[in-house]
Amino acid sequence: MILRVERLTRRFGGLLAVNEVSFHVEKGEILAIIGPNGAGKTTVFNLISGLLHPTSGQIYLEGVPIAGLRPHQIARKGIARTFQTTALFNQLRVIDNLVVAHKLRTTHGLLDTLFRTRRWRADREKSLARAVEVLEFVGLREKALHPVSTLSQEEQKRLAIGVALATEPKIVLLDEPTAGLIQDETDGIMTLIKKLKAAGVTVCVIEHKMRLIMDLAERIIVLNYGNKIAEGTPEEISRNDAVVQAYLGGEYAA
Amino acid sequence: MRRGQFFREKWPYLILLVFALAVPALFPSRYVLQVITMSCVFAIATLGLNLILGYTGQVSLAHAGFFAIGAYGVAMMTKAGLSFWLALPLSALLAAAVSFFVGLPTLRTRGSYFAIATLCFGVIVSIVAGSWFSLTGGHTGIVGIPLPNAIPFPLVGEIGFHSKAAQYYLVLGFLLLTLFVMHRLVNSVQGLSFVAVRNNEVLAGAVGINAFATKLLSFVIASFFAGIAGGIYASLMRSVSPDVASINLMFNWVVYLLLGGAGTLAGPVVGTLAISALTESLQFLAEYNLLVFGALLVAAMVYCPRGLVGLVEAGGKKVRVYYRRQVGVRSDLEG
Repeated sequence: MILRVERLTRRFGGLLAVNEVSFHVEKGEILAIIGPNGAGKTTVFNLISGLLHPTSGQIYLEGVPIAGLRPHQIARKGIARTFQTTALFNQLRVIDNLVVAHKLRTTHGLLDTLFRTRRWRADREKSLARAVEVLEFVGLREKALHPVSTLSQEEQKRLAIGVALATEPKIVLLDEPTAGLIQDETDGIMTLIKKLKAAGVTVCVIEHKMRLIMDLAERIIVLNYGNKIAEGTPEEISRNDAVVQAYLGGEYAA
Repeated sequence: MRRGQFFREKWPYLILLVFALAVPALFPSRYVLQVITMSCVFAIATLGLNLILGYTGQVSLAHAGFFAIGAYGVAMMTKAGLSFWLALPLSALLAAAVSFFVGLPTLRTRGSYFAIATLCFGVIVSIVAGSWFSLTGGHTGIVGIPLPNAIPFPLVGEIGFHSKAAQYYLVLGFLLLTLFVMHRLVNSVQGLSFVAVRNNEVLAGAVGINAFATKLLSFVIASFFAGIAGGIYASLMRSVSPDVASINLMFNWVVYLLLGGAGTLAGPVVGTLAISALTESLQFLAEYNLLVFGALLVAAMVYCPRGLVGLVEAGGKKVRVYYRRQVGVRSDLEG
C-alpha cells in the first residue's frame, strides 16, 4: 500500500468539501476517483499534495504521515501531481520544464553552481538523462528544444504528465488528464496512462469520462457532496444504485 | 579544435571586450570617462536587480537601500582605516545579511504588496541615513572617503586608482565579475528554478521547488551586488549622502532594466549604458528630460515589453526566418 487516506475532512467555512473520506492506493495500480461536479475530487488532490491542509484526518505515504507538510516537501517525499488546467512553465523550453522538475533529486548547492564543480556536472548529466528518458516516454523527444507555446493542447497535457514523472515520484495524481481534448487526443492520453501502468507507475486519476475509466482503472471510488458513496471494481460501480442515482438522478435508478 | 570552436562561437563577445578595454583611449575626456565609469557601477546594481525582478519576477524596490548599505559600509570602514579590498566584500555581505532579514517577512507578500513593502524598507534606510547623525553624518553624509587602495604587483610596482582610466578598469573588472556570476547562475538548474517560480509558483511547489527559499536566495544575491555597486560608488565619489538610498536612483535602475530587457543577461548593461548616454545628451532639457523618459517607457512597454535586447533578438529571428525562406524557395526552385 503506497498511499492511505484516513477520515480526510476539509471544511471551507460552512461548506463540508470533503467529509471523512478514506481510501488507499496499492503499488502499481490505477485508482480512479469519479463523481459529479463539485463532489470534492480536486479538493482531495489538493489535500494530498499539500496545497490545502486537512481540517481533520491523516494521509500516509508508505506508512509515514504527511498531512500538513507543504507542497514542495510532499513532492520530495514522492507524490507528483498534474493540474486540471494544464500547468506548465510556459516561459521555458520543453526540456527545461523537465530538468527543473528534477531539481528536487539533485544535491548541489549555490557554490557548486558558481564553480561548476564535479557534483554540479554530475547532477546536470543526471537531470538531462532523466529529462530525455521522460520525453521519450511521453513521446515528445523531437520537441525537446521547442518553447512550450508551440505545443498542441494534447502535447501540453503529455508534457504536464512528463513534468510529474521527472520528479521520480512513487505515485502520480492526475487531475482530469483529458479535460478539453477531442476524441483522438483523449485516446492518446489514455494510451499514455496505460503505458504508465505498464511501466509500474502507481496512478491515482480523477476523470469525468465514464467510458474511459471503465477500461482503465482497477478500482474506482465515487465521491458525491464530499462523501465517499461507493468503492469497487468498474463492474461493481456501474451496477451500484447510489452511483447511478448520483450521476443520472433518481428516476433512472432501476 | 576546441579552442577554434571557442573563438568561432564567442567572437562577438571578444570584440565587445576589446572595445570595453579600449574605452579610455577612445574617450579621452575625463568627464565622459567619469560618466561611463559611473554607468558601469550602476550596471552592476541593475544586474543585481535583474536577478530578483527580471528572473525571479519579484518587484523589489529596496535595491537602493542595499546600495546605500554598501556605500555607507565602505565609507565608514575605509575611514576607520580598513582596506577597501576588505571593506567592500564586508559591506556587500552586510547588505546581503540585512536583505535576508528583510526578505523573511516581505517575501511572504506577493506582487504589488511586495513592491510596497520593499519600497518602505528603502525609505527607512534613507531616513536612518539622514537622521542618525553620529553614525552617518546626517544629510551632509560622509566626505573624504579614501580611493581604493593601490594593488601591489611584483614587477610593475603598484597600480593606483587616482587616474580616471584606472578607476574605469577597476569598475570594468567588477562588472565583468558580476556578469560572470550572473551567467553561471542563470545558465543552470538554479537559474531555471528562479524562472520557474516567476512563471508558475504553484507548479514550482508541486515539483518540489521551495518557492520562498528560492525567492529569498535570489533577493539576497541581488542585494549583495547592490552592496558591491554601492561600495565602489562611495569609494570613487569620495563621499556619500542619504541620496544614495533615494527612490530616484531606484527608479532609474528599474527604467534601465525594463528598457534594456528584464530577464536577459545583456539587458541591464545595455539599458544602463544606453539610457545614461541618452540622459547625458538630453541635459539641455533639464528637468523636462523626464517627459522623454516617461514617453520612452510607455512606448517600450507597449511595443517591446522585453526591452532593447528582446527587440534585437526578435529582429534577428525575423531576419533568419526571412533568409531561410529565401534560401528554401531557391532550393525548391532548383530541386
